[in-house]
Amino acid sequence: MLQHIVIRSLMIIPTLLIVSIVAFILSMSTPGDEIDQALALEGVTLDDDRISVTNYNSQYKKKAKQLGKDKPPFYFTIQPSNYPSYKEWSDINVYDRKDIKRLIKSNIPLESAISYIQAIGDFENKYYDAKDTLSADLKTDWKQSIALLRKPKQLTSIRKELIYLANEYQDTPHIEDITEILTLIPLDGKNSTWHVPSLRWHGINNQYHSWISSFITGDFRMSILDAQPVFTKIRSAMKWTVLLILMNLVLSLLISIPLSILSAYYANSRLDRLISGLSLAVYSVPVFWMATLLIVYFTTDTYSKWLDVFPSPASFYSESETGLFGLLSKYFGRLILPVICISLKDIAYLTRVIRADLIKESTKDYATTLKAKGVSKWNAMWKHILPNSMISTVTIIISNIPLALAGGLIIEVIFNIPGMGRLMYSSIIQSDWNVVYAILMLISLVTVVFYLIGDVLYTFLNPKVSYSNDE
Amino acid sequence: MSNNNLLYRQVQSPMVLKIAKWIIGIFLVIGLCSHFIANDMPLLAKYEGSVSSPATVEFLSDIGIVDSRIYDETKFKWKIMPPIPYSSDQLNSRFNVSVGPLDNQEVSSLRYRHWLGTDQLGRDVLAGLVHGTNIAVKVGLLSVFFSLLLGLYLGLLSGYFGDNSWKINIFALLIGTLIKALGLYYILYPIIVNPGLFYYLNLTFIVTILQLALYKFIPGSTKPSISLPIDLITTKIIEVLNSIPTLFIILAFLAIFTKPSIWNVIIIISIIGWPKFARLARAEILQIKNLEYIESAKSIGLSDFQIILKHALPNAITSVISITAFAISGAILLESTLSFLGLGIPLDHVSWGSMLADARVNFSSWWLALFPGLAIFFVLISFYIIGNQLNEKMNARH
Repeated sequence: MLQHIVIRSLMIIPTLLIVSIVAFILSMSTPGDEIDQALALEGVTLDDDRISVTNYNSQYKKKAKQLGKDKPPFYFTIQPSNYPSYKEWSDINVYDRKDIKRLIKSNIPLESAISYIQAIGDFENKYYDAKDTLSADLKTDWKQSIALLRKPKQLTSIRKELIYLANEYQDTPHIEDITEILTLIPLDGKNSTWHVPSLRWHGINNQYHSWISSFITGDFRMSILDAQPVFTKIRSAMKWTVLLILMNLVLSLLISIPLSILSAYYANSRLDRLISGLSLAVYSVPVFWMATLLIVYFTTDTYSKWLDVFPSPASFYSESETGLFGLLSKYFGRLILPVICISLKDIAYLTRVIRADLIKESTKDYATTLKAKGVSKWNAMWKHILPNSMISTVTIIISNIPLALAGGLIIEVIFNIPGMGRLMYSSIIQSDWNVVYAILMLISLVTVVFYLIGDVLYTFLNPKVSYSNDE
Repeated sequence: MSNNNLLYRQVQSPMVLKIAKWIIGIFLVIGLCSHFIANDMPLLAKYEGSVSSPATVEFLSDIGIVDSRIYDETKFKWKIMPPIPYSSDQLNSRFNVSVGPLDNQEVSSLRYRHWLGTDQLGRDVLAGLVHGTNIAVKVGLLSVFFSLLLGLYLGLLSGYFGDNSWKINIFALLIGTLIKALGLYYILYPIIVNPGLFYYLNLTFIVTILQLALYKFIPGSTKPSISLPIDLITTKIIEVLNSIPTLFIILAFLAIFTKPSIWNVIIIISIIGWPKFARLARAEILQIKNLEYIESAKSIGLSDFQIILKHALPNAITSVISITAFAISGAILLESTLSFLGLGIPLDHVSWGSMLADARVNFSSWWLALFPGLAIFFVLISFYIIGNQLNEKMNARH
């Protein structure tokens, strides 16, 4: 038994490691750029002048270093061999990186891509020098040709377009520059060579390693959005989620246990059928629909004045309360609707499961013996069958708790409750991956631990099940 | 046996079953023919001197067979409109507030009435429901189909071979892994660079020659030497997938797609959904693997894969099929949840979830909140009832 528990708890570690790697790979493949976002929040943006460009470049590199994003992402990378190594890549101007990447993707060697982009940079500098003397027409034309040169989607068609532009504006001062720049780049695609994948080993000085080692030591890093520690963010969010889960648990048990006892006591009667049918119906109601209906009918005064009993979910929660009871007493009224929404599905599910368990128990031999001895049906149900069926019921309830987290996500988003689900949702949307990693890891830890507890409790309560004769 | 009867009696009422079957039938028909049921383009019309069918053209272009075509509405000489003469994205400029189903709608004829009202942009709710059905059918059926395939494949292999009996040559394994990795890399290659078809052919040729040469000339490369722990691998993947709540893992996966598309949702839901099938298939094959007829199939010299395909699969598939109804309802619910959150499905597609999300902004229009929710509710409950029925039949067999 003890050995089984120890082995099961040790098995959590590889699971969590795989989760962390998956989360990290996912974050690497997202299109958004965290550093761009962090800089935009600090007010550093790209403007239409040269100082801003150089400034942005240095700020970006500084921020990347500060966030540890200048390191290679993982222990190794597999890239086409024409890709620049991580060191080469970090030397390139930030402003030009996207353009160079695009050129490399169209099979242009790195050196010619860099020289091409540099020529465009010089050309752009010329534009900035002459900017004040140009007419508005010429300015937009010049800008347009720079943009075209920077983003050659289809290189052959872009050349046609540029030649057209050059012919159109014979008298513009920059036409020689464009033709000169165009000679720098091989446009016919003959340069494309066969790029085998190359594996590059980076060692332990990488982003994943530093993140996971700081995570293990308990440092969850900072949130990129507001520079708050992730730990404090998660702690204040966790409070709400725990509150919701507890209220959900209490409500669903209070309703589902009496219902299932009634249903099993009067098995196959009209009442039983009504309860079972109702629970099936409630189980099929999508949570977010129920939430929408409740919000529309109970928090707005559109339909009738007296229905507007609950405060609107659009208003904010103040974060000053610390304890669970403080939150509960202050926001009880506002939490009623969300808890009803979450618990409806649980009530339906638990009622069906507990009823099935009770009926299963009541068909066993000892129940028949009780009946033969003359114990009343109610006494048999209450004193003998219910305690026996509690074994599997407790397991089900405990394994069901992590599922409430998933149901809680959408409810928290709809009702604007600052819990874990909403934090995850907003962090994903704003690509604040430090928060997302921490939430994913914590939630998978909680889930696995609860499954383990359910499993162990089942063995503990039911001596018939033993792991000694496992295969 | 009596036990099972007690458990499932309540949903077995033939009337309820019949209704559920009808709802699912109607759901499938509407979903597959949504372009011919609700469309602002005529089913048949005389256009520029010839009889054509704009609705069919739209249907085919939606699948991707033909290019879409723009018709000038004033040039139709005669036309036969679909039963609902609105399409889901058709804005009606006459309204700048949503119109209820019971309001006075001032339409030219009863045929053009908005039976379930419109939203604040003048889009017909009934047409939106019909097109939402299309998305629900696509996502539900396709994602369950893919997860069924993947689950059966991994479940059967892991159940049949376990950890110790899939003997593989270590060379073959290494080379095979390398080649599969290369293959994956070159499948993803067009996303990274554009090498052209010639390189693919070249690469395939070289890799095949390499593989054959290695197999031929390395002594003992065809003899099995180690066993592949396929059971361990499969159960570990299932454990990882189970350890994160569904919506959280879906949100994390959705973040990597730049362009919202219905296929992203289908792929993600299949990735989430296959463990259920794999577990059932595995349990089923564990039961039958030591039975006599499998032994005798082995003794007459059938290979492992022949046994799996011809004998194990037909036995395992019945119990696996019994949970497809639940899986389809789960997929539909997930899709509508995601589109309610504004994720996954492109914004120009109308889905049941996105209609409900609109209702959240428009408090005063009860019809926006009611009808899409009812549609989801009835489809889900029908699938649950059918799923219970299937389950019961499977249980009765054992």
